Amino acid sequence: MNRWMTVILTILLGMTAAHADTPKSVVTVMTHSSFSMSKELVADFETKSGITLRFLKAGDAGAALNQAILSKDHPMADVFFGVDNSMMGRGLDAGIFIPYRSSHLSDIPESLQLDSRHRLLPVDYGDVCLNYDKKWFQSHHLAPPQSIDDLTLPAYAGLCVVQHPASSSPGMAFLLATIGRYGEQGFVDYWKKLQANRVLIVDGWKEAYWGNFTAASKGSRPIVVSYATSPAAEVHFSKTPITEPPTGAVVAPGNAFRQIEFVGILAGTPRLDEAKRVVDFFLDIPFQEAIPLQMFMYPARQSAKLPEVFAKHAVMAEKPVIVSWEKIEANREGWLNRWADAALR
Amino acid sequence: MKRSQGWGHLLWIVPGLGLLFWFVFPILTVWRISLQGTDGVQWVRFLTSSLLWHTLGQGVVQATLSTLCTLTIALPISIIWLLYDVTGRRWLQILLTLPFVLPTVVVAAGFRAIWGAEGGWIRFLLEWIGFSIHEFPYGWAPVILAHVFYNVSVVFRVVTGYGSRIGAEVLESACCLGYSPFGVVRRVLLPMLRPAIVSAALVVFLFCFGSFGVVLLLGGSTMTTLDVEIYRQTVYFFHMRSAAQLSIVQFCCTLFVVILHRRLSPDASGIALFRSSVGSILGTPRSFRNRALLTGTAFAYTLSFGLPLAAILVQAFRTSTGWGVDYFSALLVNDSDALFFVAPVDAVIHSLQIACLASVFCLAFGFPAAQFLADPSPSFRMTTLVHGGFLLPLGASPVILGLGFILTFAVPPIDFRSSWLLIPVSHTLVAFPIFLQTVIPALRGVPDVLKQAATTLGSSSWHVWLRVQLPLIRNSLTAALILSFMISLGEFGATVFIARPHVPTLPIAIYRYLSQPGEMNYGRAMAMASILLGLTAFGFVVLERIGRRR
Repeated sequence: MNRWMTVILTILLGMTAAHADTPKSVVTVMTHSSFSMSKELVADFETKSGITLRFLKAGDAGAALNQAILSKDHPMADVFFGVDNSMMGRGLDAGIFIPYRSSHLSDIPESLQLDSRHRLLPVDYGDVCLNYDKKWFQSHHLAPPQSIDDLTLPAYAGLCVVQHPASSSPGMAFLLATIGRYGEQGFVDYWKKLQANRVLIVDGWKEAYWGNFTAASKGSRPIVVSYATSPAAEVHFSKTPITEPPTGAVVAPGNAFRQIEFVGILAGTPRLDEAKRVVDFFLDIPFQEAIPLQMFMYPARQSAKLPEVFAKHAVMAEKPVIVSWEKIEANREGWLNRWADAALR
Repeated sequence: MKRSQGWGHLLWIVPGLGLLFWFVFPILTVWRISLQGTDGVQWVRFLTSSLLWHTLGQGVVQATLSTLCTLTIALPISIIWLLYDVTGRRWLQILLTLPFVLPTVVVAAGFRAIWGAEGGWIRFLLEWIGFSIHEFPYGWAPVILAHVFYNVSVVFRVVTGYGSRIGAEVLESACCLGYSPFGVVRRVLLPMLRPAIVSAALVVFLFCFGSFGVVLLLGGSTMTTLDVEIYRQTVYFFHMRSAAQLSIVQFCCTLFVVILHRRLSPDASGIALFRSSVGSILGTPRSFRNRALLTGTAFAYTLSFGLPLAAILVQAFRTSTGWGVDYFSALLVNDSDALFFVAPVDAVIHSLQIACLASVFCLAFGFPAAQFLADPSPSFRMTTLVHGGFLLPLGASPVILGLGFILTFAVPPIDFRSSWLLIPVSHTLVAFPIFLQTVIPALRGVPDVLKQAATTLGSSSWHVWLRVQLPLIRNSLTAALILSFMISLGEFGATVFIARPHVPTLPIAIYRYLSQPGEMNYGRAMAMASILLGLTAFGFVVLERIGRRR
């Protein structure tokens, strides 16, 4: 008995000791749970700037943004990283971001700078599109889909798995791709046809990719909604070195939705200057060049160099579908309801 | 027994205040802010909306079915375990408890591995008997199956923890009086176990009613629960009003179920026979036929609960190039020098620290509360309400709780919105009701006669508690601690919505690996899940030892 008590007490004591640090100039960055960055880069920034970075993660991007909005009277962070264009309207309407015109913006394409007042600055982007299992299509003597139109053909019946747009951000992006492609009326018909063609709708990306996609699981769906960079991740994280990704991405014009992630300074921060320097750090070349292998997104900066595995295997959508954030913010709910009527019933 | 009159009815105040501060206060803040300017018309519109009634109806049906199935499957094995020494008894106990800690994604992966792709053996079997199902059947079946898989441990632990005090004499005399073995179980054992069964059923019902991950993941796109709906309303529509209204409904339902439960279950007392050994009541079955039958049943349970777990281990060890520990060694490599890289050792240490802390909190707050609820002073009329209050965290949506912490603890003297302490606190909140429901029936079962006898013989009330009551409830207390420990180790839902600095726990690490494509990520997630399994099994053995000493 006493021995066990000693063990437990030691563990508990170790815990209190491990968490007793309070540095001086701390900038808190609120972000979603998929945020990742190189340790070395952050340490380097901290020594050079004298600013200590503290990251707070609070669920997925939507949940984190809601927390930032609801706590706006007593903000718990200085900088927010990772609002995307399907959600940015909510943040901007709530007035939680203050404008900052970073000098790095000149190197970022206009097409990514969606907020003309620079309250939210683009930091990275990725195209949500169809991925397919190359081997499956080869062994079944079927051509991989060329566009999202193909999914309604009888030959592709029961082959595709997508995510629920009300609980998954790639799911939402794919819905937006269909809205942009077929129009605000046409997308309903498309989803009805998709449902008739036995599309499988699951809750989130993990369940779709790791649960049903034939290239990544014992599932039975060789087509999945994922990112155009996923094939590169398959190569990067393969166990044995491979030269050819096992999956392909459908990036023909008008077949993908470009998800852009933004960073912004939260209104009410008492450390505005430090917050600006942190935003600059996110937009600076070293950070931008680390984004691909940390988060599997493309850096927003044009002059950022891509790592080899990206340059070789990641693809970028040609002419992705465009739906403006103002329109998304005004219609999100109506679209989701009409989607549910078409796809679920 | 005048002992409890002095301070007994004040016992609930400390845990009550804790709950008020850490739970009621945050939730009320979210309600207050979200419901600003909500008038009667809006309430009427909400109360007549199909959103509410559809969600509620489906939740009730689903939770009832899940609870019934769980009881049907858990009770036979609990009774066999109580009555007889079956081969591999201790392993069976550990095995039945393990599923509880597993993250939903991992369980789903385990199920699917057994279900199999083309050529998988369950599918082969189904096709052979004439069913041809090609797709994993999202919907009711896997949700209920997963709920059973998760919750059998609750029933098993609560019932066996409680029942182990029943002495062989009662059952043997029943046999002598001419009852068949089934008669003994039905007429004698089950009525004696009733408080524990009802208690466990209540917890299981509330668990399934508030199910989040399982329903999102396995329920397909048309199934829903209040928790799932609250998540969607909050995160995707930012309808804080609907979310708050739904969470109020959820709390009312929880309270209603608790009150119903107290009305339905009469006071359980008078189980006067007990013994101190933790062995089975009747020992090894005598006839060969019985022995074979029981071993067979135990084996069937081992198989059905062990297979999904084994599937996870298989996936962790089988790489594309053959069997090996490559995924485990890959856990140690931070291949892109990531800031949030979780070294497995760190995750294990954090998880263990948090679980220990949460169990200690549960004990510190739960024990006085249980003591009070088990033996309420007759002059105190609000017992049911207090009991309901203590069980309320079961009906809390993790999203709302996460928001509550942020909104409430915002002003400097108590600004710990981003303190790591919130993690063990939220785990405690989740585990607390289960702790209570495990300990209360045991406390009620301690016969007053014994306490009175000890007092008559000159023991102080403290002595009576330490020497009479505590030894008698030791098994249940151990079971309760094990459940709390386990809940904390496996908790994901509440943890992920709390704004927290980097304190990785094992489930969080598993989810992180699963959020990117690539074979190595999946392999590492499975390796991490195996570590979680191993750690949990180890934790049980240790706690079990602690419980048995003294």
